[in-house]
Amino acid sequence: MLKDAIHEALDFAKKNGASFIDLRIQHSYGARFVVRDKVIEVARDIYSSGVGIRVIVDGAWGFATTNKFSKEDLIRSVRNAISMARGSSKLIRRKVALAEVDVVEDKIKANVSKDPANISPEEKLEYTLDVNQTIFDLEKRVKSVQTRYSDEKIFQTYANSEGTYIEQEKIYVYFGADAMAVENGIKASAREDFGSIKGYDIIYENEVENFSSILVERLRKQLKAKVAKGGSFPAVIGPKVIGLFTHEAFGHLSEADFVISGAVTSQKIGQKVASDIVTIIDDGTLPGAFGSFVYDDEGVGSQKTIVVKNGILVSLLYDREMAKAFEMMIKRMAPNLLEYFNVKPTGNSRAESFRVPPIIRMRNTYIEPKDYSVEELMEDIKFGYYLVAPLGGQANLDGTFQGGTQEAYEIVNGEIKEPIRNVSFSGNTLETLMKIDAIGKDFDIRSGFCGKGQTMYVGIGGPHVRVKEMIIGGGA
Amino acid sequence: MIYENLNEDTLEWIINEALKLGASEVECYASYSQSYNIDIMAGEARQPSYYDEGGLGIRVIVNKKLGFSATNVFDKEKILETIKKAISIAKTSKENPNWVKLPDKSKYEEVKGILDKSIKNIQPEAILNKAALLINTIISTDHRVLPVWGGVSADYTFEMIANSNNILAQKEGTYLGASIGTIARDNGVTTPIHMEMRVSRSMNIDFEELGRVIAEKTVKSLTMKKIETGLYPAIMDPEALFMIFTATFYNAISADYAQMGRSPYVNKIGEEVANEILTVIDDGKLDGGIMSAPFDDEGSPTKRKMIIDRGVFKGFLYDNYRARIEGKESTGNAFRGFMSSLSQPRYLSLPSIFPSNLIISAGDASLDELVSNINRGIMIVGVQGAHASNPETGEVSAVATPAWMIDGGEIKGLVPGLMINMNIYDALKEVEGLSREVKQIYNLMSPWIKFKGIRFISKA
Repeated sequence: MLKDAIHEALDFAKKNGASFIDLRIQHSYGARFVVRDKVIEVARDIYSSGVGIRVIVDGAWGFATTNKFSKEDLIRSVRNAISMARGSSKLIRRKVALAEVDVVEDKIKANVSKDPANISPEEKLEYTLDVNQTIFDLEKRVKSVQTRYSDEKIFQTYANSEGTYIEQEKIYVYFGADAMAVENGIKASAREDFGSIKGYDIIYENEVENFSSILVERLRKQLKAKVAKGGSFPAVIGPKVIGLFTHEAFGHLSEADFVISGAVTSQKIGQKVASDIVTIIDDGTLPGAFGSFVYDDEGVGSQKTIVVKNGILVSLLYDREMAKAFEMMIKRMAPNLLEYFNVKPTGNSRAESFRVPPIIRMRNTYIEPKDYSVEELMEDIKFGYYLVAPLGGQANLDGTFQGGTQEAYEIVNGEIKEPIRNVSFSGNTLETLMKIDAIGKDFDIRSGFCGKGQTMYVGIGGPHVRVKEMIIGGGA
Repeated sequence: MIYENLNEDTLEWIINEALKLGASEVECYASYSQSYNIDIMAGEARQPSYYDEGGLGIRVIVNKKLGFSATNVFDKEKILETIKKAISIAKTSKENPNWVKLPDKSKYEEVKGILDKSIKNIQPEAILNKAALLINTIISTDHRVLPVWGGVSADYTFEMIANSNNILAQKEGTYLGASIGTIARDNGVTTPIHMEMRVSRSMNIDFEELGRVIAEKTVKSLTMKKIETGLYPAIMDPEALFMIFTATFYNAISADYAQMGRSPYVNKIGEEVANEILTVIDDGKLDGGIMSAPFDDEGSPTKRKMIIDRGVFKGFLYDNYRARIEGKESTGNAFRGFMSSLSQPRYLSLPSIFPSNLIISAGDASLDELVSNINRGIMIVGVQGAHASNPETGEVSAVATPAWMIDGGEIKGLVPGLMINMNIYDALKEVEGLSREVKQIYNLMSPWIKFKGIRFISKA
């Protein structure tokens, strides 16, 4: 029934001048619980559905959505999309062309051991309440705690005019907590979270006591922490913070839509952007990681994409349009680069929901581990900083970045010393990548959310990494 | 009828069904939105999109236990299922001892300038042409400037609210928005991104003015300067202030933050928290205000409130829940969404506290005068990474970018990579000047603010 409606919509578009059309039909279910200071303030169970339709007419995109699925409604939306594209085609110079990809017919079930839909709301609530209470119990100086549980289940049907037809199910489970403590007028706050695509088991893996104590320990350190000296210092950066750096400071600069918009990397195609020991990967296939999936929102298979290999920029992150655009540009301007620089679609086209068109997004982004132990990374540092847990960060197209931490320490004569509060770090991304002089053998990947107009599930992490110098800022 | 069964009868039916099924209290919020949006990317207006969606969110209370469910399918069966889900999740929940009741029925006053029929009935070509005009103005103002990012959108929203305390009301509004990010390139120098935005409830954004302003601003950063780490007088653009405020001050003035003991303004009502030249007002009824409406998203009347009066803290922003805990009236600050965010339609969200139209009163001096009185200092044009700032302590973690050096009372050029080391709550006590020019960034209307001294860390 739905399949018939889809075929009619595809046919209608082709007969009315579209050279390409695709549809993304979604049904989305979500539960969410929020507990603030031991009180349940949000208990939510929501559903929504709809379809997002893209067309190409005269070399221009048009996009329209509807939340109704009858033939008539789909045709009405196709008509809307076509009229948007026609208007746009008169104004744009660079015409849209798509890289060729395989036609795929497939059906993907989420690979979970325990579907959160089969877990009672009571159980999810109990965990959310327990963590809240436990954080208060573990530390008397705690004044306020928020805990949040959420899960989302998405059924998506993707179909395009080339014959690709994919049904895909995705399941996300996420839990986060933040707390504030006060002592002698000094306020400290800390947060911690986790998420998985493996299902509800992630909750069992994070026992209430263990998870709560991570947060409480961080709070205790923040309470006694001192302020950082501002300036340039060597730094050892833990997996969570290097993950944030790799994602924010470099990852966005490798997104082809940002590169074509003039990011500093547009001058570095196929060139050296990091020290020889650095290999950077955006991996959509890492088992269980928050940013993994089987097909992207254009029906392109996800993959492990090597973006930087031994310091050389060897690929960008593409959708079908940008892969074609870069292929044509590089063929015209520097064809010899094509020997080692990838211009094929990488499966990075993702949309937050049916309401918005897909754009280029990262998946699980990390620096490949090498051979140092954490102790070896620190042993030569007379004075520097050890950055353990991040607070968030951001980068600019010109290659400057900035990040904050909620757990950091001084390194004195190769040893971890006093905790330091609210250390922020900044610099120039490519200069900093050049200053990476040793990489650890450990590896950890964590859940994250990336905002680029749309919010997206991603994985961030990596090994411990040493940077010869980095600009460190302290509290006010 | 705007959208299928989105009418008073449906809402009344929902309230009655939920009460029959065992809810002690019920609220139904329904919204329908339509939006035209054009993305600006790499110098072109691309990917025009059309969106429309209607949906409803049902909040029920069963013996002080709260439940919420939502759907965008309007047939009776699906709505009944949604009511049952809300009740069922409420029943599995635990009692919220703080809960008093949903808002009572009130009288609403009309708010002017929030609906423009020419936006409601807009044709996609009109939006495409506005985006093209913006891009062409930028490039013709200075060919070294490239619009890299941005968009133009025209939205219409219709909302209804009903609850078991006899509230039954509707509101509609329109929004026009334009945002633009640019870089400039010359002689091998690439500037960081510069941003500028305009929002309005009517069709009155001057796209040529916006194009000229952003182009002229961006080329100022083609000259690079260095400055040493240190304490400097600084002027903050409303754009930068907005980024810092949404991560800090917006939370600090909310009653939920106050009641959790997280706000720096707890027990500070009537005390001096800022320099006496600073006055901050939250006005939910402002003519043509971007967040203005006769009532908020749970049916409480909107109000004009003093937040900081000549340096003295006057009070927090409340929704119904937080107000009733203190036996107060809601200030009408319960919102389910910010303007018209497509990524999370309003009907899917519970209301939470947010400033409506936040107004910082302007000063007497012109911006030029503020600059000319600084011998050596910084103009913070924008900030990056401010969302990692600490709302509880006010410690700001951000890079000032773009940031300009002020030397001998004149703007001399870009200082790259300057880190800001400040506490925003302390800094408000050291405000030394306010410009008479005012700029609106989303729901913040603010002058340029001169701070006595901000510590900057430079890589120079």
